[in-house]
Amino acid sequence: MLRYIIKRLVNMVPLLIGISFVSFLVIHLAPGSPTSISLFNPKISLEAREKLNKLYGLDKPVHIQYFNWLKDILKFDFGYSLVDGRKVSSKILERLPVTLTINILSLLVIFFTAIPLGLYSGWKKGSFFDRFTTLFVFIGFATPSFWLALLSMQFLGVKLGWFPISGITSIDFEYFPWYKKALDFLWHISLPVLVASFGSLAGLSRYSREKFLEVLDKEYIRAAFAKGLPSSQIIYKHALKPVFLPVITILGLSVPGLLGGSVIFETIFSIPGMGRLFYEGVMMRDYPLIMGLLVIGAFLTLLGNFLADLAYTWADPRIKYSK
Amino acid sequence: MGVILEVKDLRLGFSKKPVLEGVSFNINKGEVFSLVGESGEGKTLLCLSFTKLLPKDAYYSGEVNFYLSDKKINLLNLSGEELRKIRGTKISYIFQESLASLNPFLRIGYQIDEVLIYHKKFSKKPAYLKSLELLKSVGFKNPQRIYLSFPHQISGGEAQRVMIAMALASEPCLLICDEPTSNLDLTVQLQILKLLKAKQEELGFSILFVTHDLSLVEKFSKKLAILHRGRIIEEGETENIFRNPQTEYTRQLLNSVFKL
Amino acid sequence: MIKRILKNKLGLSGLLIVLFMSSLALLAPFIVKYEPISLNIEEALLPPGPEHLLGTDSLGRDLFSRIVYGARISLSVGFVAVGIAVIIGIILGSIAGFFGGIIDAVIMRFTDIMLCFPSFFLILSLVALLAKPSIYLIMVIIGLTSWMGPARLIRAEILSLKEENFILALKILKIPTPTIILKHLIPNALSPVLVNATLGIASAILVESSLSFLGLGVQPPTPSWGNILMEAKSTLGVAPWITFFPGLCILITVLGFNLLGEAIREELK
Repeated sequence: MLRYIIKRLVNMVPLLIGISFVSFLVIHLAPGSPTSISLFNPKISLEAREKLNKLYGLDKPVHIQYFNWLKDILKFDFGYSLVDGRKVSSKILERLPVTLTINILSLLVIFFTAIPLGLYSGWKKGSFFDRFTTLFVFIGFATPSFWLALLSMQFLGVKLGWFPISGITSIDFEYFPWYKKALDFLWHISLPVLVASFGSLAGLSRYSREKFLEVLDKEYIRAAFAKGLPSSQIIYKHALKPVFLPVITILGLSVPGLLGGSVIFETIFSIPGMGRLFYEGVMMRDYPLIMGLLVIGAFLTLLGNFLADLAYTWADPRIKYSK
Repeated sequence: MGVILEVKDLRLGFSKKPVLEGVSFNINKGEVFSLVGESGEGKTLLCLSFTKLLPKDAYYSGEVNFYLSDKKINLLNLSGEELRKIRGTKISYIFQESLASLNPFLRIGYQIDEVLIYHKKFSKKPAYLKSLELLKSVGFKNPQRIYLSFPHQISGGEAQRVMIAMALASEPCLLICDEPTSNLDLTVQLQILKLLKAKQEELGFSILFVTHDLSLVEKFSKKLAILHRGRIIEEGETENIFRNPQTEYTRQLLNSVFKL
Repeated sequence: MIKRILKNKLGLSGLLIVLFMSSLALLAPFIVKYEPISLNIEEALLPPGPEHLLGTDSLGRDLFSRIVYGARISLSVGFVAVGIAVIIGIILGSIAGFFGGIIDAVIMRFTDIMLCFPSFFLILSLVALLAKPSIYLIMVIIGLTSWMGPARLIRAEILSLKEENFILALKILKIPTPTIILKHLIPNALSPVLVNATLGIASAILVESSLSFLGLGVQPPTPSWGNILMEAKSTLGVAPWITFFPGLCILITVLGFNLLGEAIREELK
């Protein structure tokens, strides 16, 4: 199995290079140079402009720029923001934890909600519960997340006052003992987690249902029934694992979707996360920041896939103990 | 002797299509009874129907009387829970696809332990020891290795021997074998049949041997029934039927065997 | 096949929704009473009533007409973006599948790389490059970031079709390669793409409305369901209908395409 992991890691290298290349390409397709936006100010002389260009290495040919940038990324140096001159990597790093927390919590919520829903729907195939859940998840899938965010803000936040609608901390956060700080944080991210998970519930519960029904049809389940085992044993011991494994892969694949969604709900709920940073970067045309976030986003996606693959490999005896 | 299973006018089918249209036969205690029919005749459904393992949209009627310590029980009238207690204990199954009948995600030993734990109330260690014993009794020289293996690590023939061990774990009165050797190589087929015969003689249970291959039946079982178009068209002692087939269909089947 | 979809209740509802929304979009000028961009401050923030079916927004514009014209935007972006994605996907996928070897490897690597990016991130980056996003550029951008699915599907189908007897027969008959690809391989490989495309339209509609909501899509005063919602943010408590109806339309339309796509998928199984 170690060989498998190493093989996967080695395969990722060309992907990572490709990611950096595409990120670079995307930004440099922009008409004008990346610093042209800061030159709306006509007072900046030609000299100053040239100095700025030199600072950002824009006077060199494109491929040299790419290699320099690539070298820097490998040292985790993503350059400097055009907006406030701070290091891009610091800006990303201070926002990363929040986004990761919200997304991981969402994954957990989805995992513990969607899968049981899907399994129970499959077990009671054709029943009212099954059909109702199917309709419910389809609607969930079709709901625009920003609309849901607005509605939940209005009803759960403003009208009912159950949850706060912006930020991640209360005003007197600093004076809270550590456990109250944790609770306060969780309370603040409740609505974002709700919005983030809602859409993905559909996909995963349908998938779990499908896989469960597939597994129930298998010979070894029929043999388990023929052995006279109690249903609980059959479901929990025999049927769950074959369902869980592909489901975990799907979870790993939902990372890019969650990251994309973060842009929206972090902006609406004023959460200081990576998504909102991306939005701000785009609005301000802060190209180094955008490039950095593209690379990080793609890297996190790859990581998610890799972890899911790893989990699968470890859990499936056919791979773990291959002949 | 005495009857252990009495099938009376069993009818089975799906809403659009009847499969069995009145099947009756008896299996005696300690007897090896073969049911011969071509593929698609409903042999598997017949086997499954005894313990109501049928798909939801199947209908059934008739009687399947099981004689347990002098009590006559119509299996088709039992509830799910009552049937569950009989499956795997008094009536065990072996299926055609041996490897597919094993859960690829669980160790083989565990899948044998299950029967002991849930039916015989064994605890973990005694179950483990008994499973090893069972594996040894079906011919595994290294039962420990098999116990710890996963299904993908063993062959089809080995898997079928595991199935036999599993089926015999709770000392059943009736072992239903649905085409147990059809997927195996010829040499392995004979091995498995020999094993079944040996076990049957040793432990005295009855066997319902379902197959499409008449050539296997001759040496293996004393009684035989031929299933054709949803009915039993011939039934009796194997020897008699081979020497004096009563129906055209039987004659055709016999001819196709001996042509080889 | 259409007949079979009609028998499936959910698929039928999906189809009906799609047809309904499409007709709204097509017949827009004939159904609305008021111009979608004409202001009338005196009639601002009116709740739904006989005059204004769905009420008015903060600038007095009739919400119903804005929503109907918004349907035009959403549906056209959906169809065109997916059209672009499918065309790119067919081209790349069939070349990769048919020629194999290095060409296949390179194209597939490129596809893998593109798939690593969260698509919304990519889309936003591309939008950032433009000074002023127009609806046509949005269509192209969404298309440029969604071709990977169709490409993989086409490639897979062509890989399996390549070995079929009728293709080998065509090769023996010395039919020119482009003809084989265009007339024989591609048409047969299209069915899984149909599902992908239908679901893709739903997704494209969601993306366009998200972009417009963030102010990076269709710009006001041209109404798009997304930018109506952007403007609705400020009047959420006071005039909930401005938030409610456009969102509901997005939901119903996306739901329709999803149901239709799933029904087609069930059929093809």
